Amino acid sequence: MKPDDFARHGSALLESVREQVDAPQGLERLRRDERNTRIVAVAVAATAVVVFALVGGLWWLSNDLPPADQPTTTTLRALPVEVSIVLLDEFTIDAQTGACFGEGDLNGFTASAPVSLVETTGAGTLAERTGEGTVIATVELPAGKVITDADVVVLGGSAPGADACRFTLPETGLAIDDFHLPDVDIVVVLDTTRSSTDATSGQRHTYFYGGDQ
Amino acid sequence: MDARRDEPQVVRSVERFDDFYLREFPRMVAVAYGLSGSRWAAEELAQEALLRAYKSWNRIATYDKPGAWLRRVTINLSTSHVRRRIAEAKAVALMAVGQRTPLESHFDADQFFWDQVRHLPRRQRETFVLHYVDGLSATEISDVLDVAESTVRTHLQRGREAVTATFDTGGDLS
Repeated sequence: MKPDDFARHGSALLESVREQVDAPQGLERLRRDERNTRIVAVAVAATAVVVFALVGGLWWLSNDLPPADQPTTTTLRALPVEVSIVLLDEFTIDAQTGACFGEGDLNGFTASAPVSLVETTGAGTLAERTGEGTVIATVELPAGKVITDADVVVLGGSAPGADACRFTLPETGLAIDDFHLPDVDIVVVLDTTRSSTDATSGQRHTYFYGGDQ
Repeated sequence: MDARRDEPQVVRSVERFDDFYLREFPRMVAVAYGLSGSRWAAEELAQEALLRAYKSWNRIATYDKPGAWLRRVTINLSTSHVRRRIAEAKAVALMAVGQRTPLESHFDADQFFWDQVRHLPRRQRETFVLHYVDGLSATEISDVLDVAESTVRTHLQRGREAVTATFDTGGDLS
């Protein structure tokens, strides 16, 4: 090929392009594309802001619940495990045998707790006792059970002798350590009408003593 | 006394983008076609390069050589295989939805000749197209490709020899 041939091919291509492309139309399309790009960018940014706000709002709501609505959770260390529970409230006691009975709902697990009366304080016979005191009950919990304050075991009822088993919390307030129960893993205080001094009447309180809290 | 007052004040007139576009668009299409071999892709690649210039026109217009910047972008887009395929797909999509007039896939040019040019090594190919299609001098090409002028001349010479050899051997580049 001669040197002029290269220039001829190049000129022919450029000339063909000039004849076949519509530059003014291209310019119009460019402005339209740029506008569309901006609209898409704004839409994407707005969507991102909305999603961020929604996620942030949900996160805030999930972290801003009142403490009363947040269950206190503990997981038993070794399962199955026997835990000693101190119950300070009404429960059922068989006036004939002196045995205490309780039924409760452990986070959906209904247990007819084989409550054994280990120790009581107070005057009078078992069936007659009233006043301050503690009852240590042994309840076997299912493996993997997670106890929350919704798992309060409610002991109480209308069995004969129930009245005899009422215990009153110290009027000066409740301090778990005051009970001096080193072997107790979990302390459950069922507080109904005769609540501790810092409790709202009728509201249940659960205190965990020891264990994984 | 401030010595700068004695210096000549250079005031460059900033070109309107519309004038820049209308002048450069056909040239960039031709350059992109020379490098990519696809008319559909060439128009989209040139459009993409000019769109980038448009978005930053306030800055690019103040450059000494806005045209060199545009050619660098066009060449980079055209030599990217992925970019070329995307541009072709976009052109086909636009034609399918009727936003573009259906086009032939090639311009009226010697397809065999330009196929041989596209078989050249990258730098030789770019130099060849900028010189013979866009009409740039070796000095201008050295600005665009950021290489020495002597290198441009070497690329041009070797490109010519390779294409000529192809024709002499009946089109067999290997």
